Amino acid sequence: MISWSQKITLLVSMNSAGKLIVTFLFICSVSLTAQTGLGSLVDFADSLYKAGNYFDAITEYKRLLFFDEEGEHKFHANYFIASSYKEGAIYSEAVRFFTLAEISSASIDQIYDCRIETVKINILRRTTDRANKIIDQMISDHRFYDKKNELKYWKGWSMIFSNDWEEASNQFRDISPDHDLFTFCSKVNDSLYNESLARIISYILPGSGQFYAGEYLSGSLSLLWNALWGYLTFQAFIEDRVFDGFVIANFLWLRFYNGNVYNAEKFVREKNSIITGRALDFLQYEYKGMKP
Amino acid sequence: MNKFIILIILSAEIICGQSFHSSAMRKLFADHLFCAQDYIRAIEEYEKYYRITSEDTVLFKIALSYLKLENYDNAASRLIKFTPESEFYYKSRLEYLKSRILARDYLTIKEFADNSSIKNELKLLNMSFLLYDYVMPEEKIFLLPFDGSELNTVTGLYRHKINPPEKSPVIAGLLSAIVPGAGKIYTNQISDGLTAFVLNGLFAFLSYNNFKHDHQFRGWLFAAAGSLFYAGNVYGSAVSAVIYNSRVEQEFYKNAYDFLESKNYFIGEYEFCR
Repeated sequence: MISWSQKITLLVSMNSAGKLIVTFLFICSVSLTAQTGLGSLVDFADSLYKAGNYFDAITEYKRLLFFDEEGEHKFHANYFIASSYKEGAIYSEAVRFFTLAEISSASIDQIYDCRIETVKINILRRTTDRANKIIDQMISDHRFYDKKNELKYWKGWSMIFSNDWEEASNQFRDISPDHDLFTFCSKVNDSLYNESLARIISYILPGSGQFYAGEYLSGSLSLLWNALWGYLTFQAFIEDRVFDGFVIANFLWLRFYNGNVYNAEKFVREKNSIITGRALDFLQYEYKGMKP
Repeated sequence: MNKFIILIILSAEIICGQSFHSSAMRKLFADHLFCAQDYIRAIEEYEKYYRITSEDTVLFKIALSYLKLENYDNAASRLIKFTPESEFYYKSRLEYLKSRILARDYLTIKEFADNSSIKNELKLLNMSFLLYDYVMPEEKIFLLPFDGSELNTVTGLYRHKINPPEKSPVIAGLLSAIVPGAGKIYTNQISDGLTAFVLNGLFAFLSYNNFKHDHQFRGWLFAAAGSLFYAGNVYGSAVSAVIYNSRVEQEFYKNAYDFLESKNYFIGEYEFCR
């Protein structure tokens, strides 16, 4: 083993060509070692990410960003920090880092990946207007011309999370009339109750909105109460008891009449919520395709 | 010669390829995280570094990070460790008092700073008097540590604490019993008061008018409704006074905390991230 003093003596005793070679070797080693160091940091961070240890993965990717002075791993680190935040459901940070990753991206594919991930986050946190806006911008961007079907696919998902199943089925139908999600969304849409219809028929015939929503007991009671208070109101007016007529109409009939409309809408919303909840459960647990 | 070349390469590795997890690198990275306000990760890195070096600056930054994360007890447990020899001793005491104020642990503040002669510590101690149910000292004694622009605000807070502008629920109820709605007006609910006055009058008139025209049922109906409304108004006025007092109290605490925040708890600024 050569000691440091021996090393220095040897270096001093070398001729100029020898010193040049040693200096060259030293510089090469320095740069190679630094690269290897960052490489191992990338590997370590990736292994943490793959193991699902997202908190530590973020730390290591941030460490990588901090020491990567050349910015060689900037995209990779930002992208996986964002993905880790997404896995941890810290969506605002995830969007921030996907944006940073997009800024440091080197290809159209990388830009596409970052934007689609941002779209998915916006779908998950139900800021679907933002998701739609990004998708629409991408559809009109010629760089993503060959990704149109994929963009429609995510727009369909965005529509699902906007609770617009009809528009969702349209998006999937545009991709292919045989698309699994087209059939699925159409079925869900067909099984949904129409809130406006329930309201209108309740205005025309009290209780009918509840009947439409399958709430027969509530519908019958509503019909009976409205018939009773309506009858008493008219009776009072016919007998010239105007004050009584106003009191019964205002404090009883009108309350039950409005209550009947409100109830019909509420039942429809509840039923629709159950139907869409089941549909979303299916998509989350059973559906095998790509999900946000 | 071959051995020498290998050693040159190894030396380069030691000098430049040292682990990004080494202590020196870790501190650099932790400082970066601290300034990027990623306090959870900064704490983790600082703690690993502190275990090896026991550096005061790092311990202080760990405490500051905990404070930023609103983890006041963990911050306090670090801040209490500083000794008078440390350059952070005085700051750590102030930060400790800040952590106790934020944790609403006012009794500890009294124990900690009661015999202190440091002006800013006395300021925080006196502010804790305002925030807790202590017997307040004389105004002159209370205001002694404060100076300049602070005096006006602190005097206002002190006088509010001594003589809070509260409304009595009993008076509010009595006023509404005598003149319906008057109790609400007393508690600054002017529109509610006027509405109550008009509605009570309306019910009384309807009841009187119906009795006058021999509509006994309607007369009793309006009398009963009017009585309920009257009783509700008396009770509502008393409740309104309680709500008013609670709002006054909340505003007082908000003003006190806003004042502390605006003065940064009399601690001053740090230059860690400049």
